[in-house]
Amino acid sequence: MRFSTIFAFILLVFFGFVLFSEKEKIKPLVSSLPSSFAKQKLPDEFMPELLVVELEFSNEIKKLQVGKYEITIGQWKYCYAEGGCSFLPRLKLNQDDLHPITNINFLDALEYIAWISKRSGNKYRLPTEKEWSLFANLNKEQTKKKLFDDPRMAWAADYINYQKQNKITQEAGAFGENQFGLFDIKGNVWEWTSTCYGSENVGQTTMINCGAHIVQGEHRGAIIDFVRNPLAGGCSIGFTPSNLGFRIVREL
Amino acid sequence: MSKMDEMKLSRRTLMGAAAATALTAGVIGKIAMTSATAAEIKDLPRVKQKMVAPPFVPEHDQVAVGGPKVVEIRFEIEEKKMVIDGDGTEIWALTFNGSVPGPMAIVHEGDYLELTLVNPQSNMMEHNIDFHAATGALGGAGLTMVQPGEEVVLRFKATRTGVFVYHCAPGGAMIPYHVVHGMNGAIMVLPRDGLKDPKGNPVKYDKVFYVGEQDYYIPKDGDGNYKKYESPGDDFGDALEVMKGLVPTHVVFNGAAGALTGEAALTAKVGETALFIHAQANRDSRPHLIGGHGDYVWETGSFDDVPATNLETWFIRGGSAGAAIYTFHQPGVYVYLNHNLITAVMLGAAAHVIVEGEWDDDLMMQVKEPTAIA
Repeated sequence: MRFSTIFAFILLVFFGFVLFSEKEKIKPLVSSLPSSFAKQKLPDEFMPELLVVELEFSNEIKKLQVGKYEITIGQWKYCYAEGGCSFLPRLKLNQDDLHPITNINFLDALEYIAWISKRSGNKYRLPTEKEWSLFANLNKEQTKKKLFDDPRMAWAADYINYQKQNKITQEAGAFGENQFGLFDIKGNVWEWTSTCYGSENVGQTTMINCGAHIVQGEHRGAIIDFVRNPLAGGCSIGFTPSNLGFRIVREL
Repeated sequence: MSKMDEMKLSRRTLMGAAAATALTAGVIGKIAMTSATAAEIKDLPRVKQKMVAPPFVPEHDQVAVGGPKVVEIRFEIEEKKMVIDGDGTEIWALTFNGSVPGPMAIVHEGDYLELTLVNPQSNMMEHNIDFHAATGALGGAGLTMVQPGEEVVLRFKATRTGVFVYHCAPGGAMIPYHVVHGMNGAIMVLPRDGLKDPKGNPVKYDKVFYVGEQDYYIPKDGDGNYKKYESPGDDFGDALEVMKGLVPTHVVFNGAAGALTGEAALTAKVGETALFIHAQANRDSRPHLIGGHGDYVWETGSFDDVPATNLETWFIRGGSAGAAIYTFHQPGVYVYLNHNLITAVMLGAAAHVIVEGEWDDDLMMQVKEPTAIA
């Protein structure tokens, strides 16, 4: 009995060490929260608000709960305070808790999602690129405009959507709502999706690179998972996302 | 001490110029030697040149029409708050006519440039101007110092062809301070018979892109945020500390990051020839046109020199302007940048050129789209 207790203790220390050193090397995708956390209800203001939207896929209509706003700094801070999120970006002078969280990478977003899922008992995830395009109503608006129609100049066609960067974030909601009641789709925060670069036919390649994910916002881009502050977004023409953030979805 | 430095500097400039004159004897010598009398200058035709904001330049003849004239221009100095990047970083810019860089004046060799420099009462500081194209009195700086509420008129003869920087030079640490707060620009002195290729054939351009590259040194607070100031000059002490490190926080074209991109991108058509003028009053630069070239490049700015051909990247010495001619052969989007890519991408020194026209498969084509490796 005593022997086995000591053995268990040694085992615990050993695996604890392994876990700890792993955590130092790579950021954990799912953080291990103390069990006491789930016992206290998350205050309402820290629970992301979701709306049910009907998305028209080519072969079906699917209902999905979509974050009404991008995850805010206040919501992120709560996750950070409870240890669910391991990274807290340095805030800019104009930013407060009501602004969307920015300067976070794909892995950071997954940490938040793991935490909020565990904390609320709901299963949240990032939207796929297709879902994002549908609830952002992209097909009807953005993709129509091209600078050049010649397919040989597809590489430069999207320049028409290029905007001079304005990185200054506003309070959530400041950029208005779309027809689904979702806010800030047209804001200056680009949102992480769960879609690997190359895994949908929008790109030019048939290769799948899952070290980079599609972000959507002012423009479509592929960003490497560990990038938090995208000074470059891919090509030299320079559709660099102004800010990186995210909103969450939940299946009904 | 700073005056001493400046004197040494201008002496060296003069000695260099003397050597150049000896080499290219004829043209420069002739005009420099023929001194017009006050009466003769008084009889010259006078024209007013309307200044326009960069990247555009005033309407002008590429080949001079008629004889020398006096070209009148007016610079009104404006100390103004400008936003220089997408983060909303601010500077109290010191400007000629409200833009960074200041406007470009264009004359022909042998013309006179007559500047009225106005320092409105609303400004806080004294200002002046040093034209690198001018001869004597510290490039005019010694004759143009104006306090708020004053104006001054300077006339100088354009004896050398090329593109030349001008900048404010009020003395001491105020010289670099004013220059890195935007108070600089360029003028162009064209040969009377226009630009020439290396074989002496005339070179014509359809448009001019006047790009001023500006390095800024914005102080930060303890948290690493860029500081904001109440009025012009308030940042003086802080800014000098950053400047002394020689590491700019921003290097931008035409005053702000992204100023020549998107809806403000430069535009051209296939077959059109553009003259890119690149001015950098303080710090070395390496202009490069991604997807294009420098067909003819007057790297040091002098149009009396034979232009270099087919350059990929050219060098602009801090304190000078250079010019490059390029004829567009393919449509699309080009990036004109400082090919210190850290400077271009992370500090802001990049512009875009949108070119319309028919794609030429002979020059380039994607033979096979990206696919999985076979």
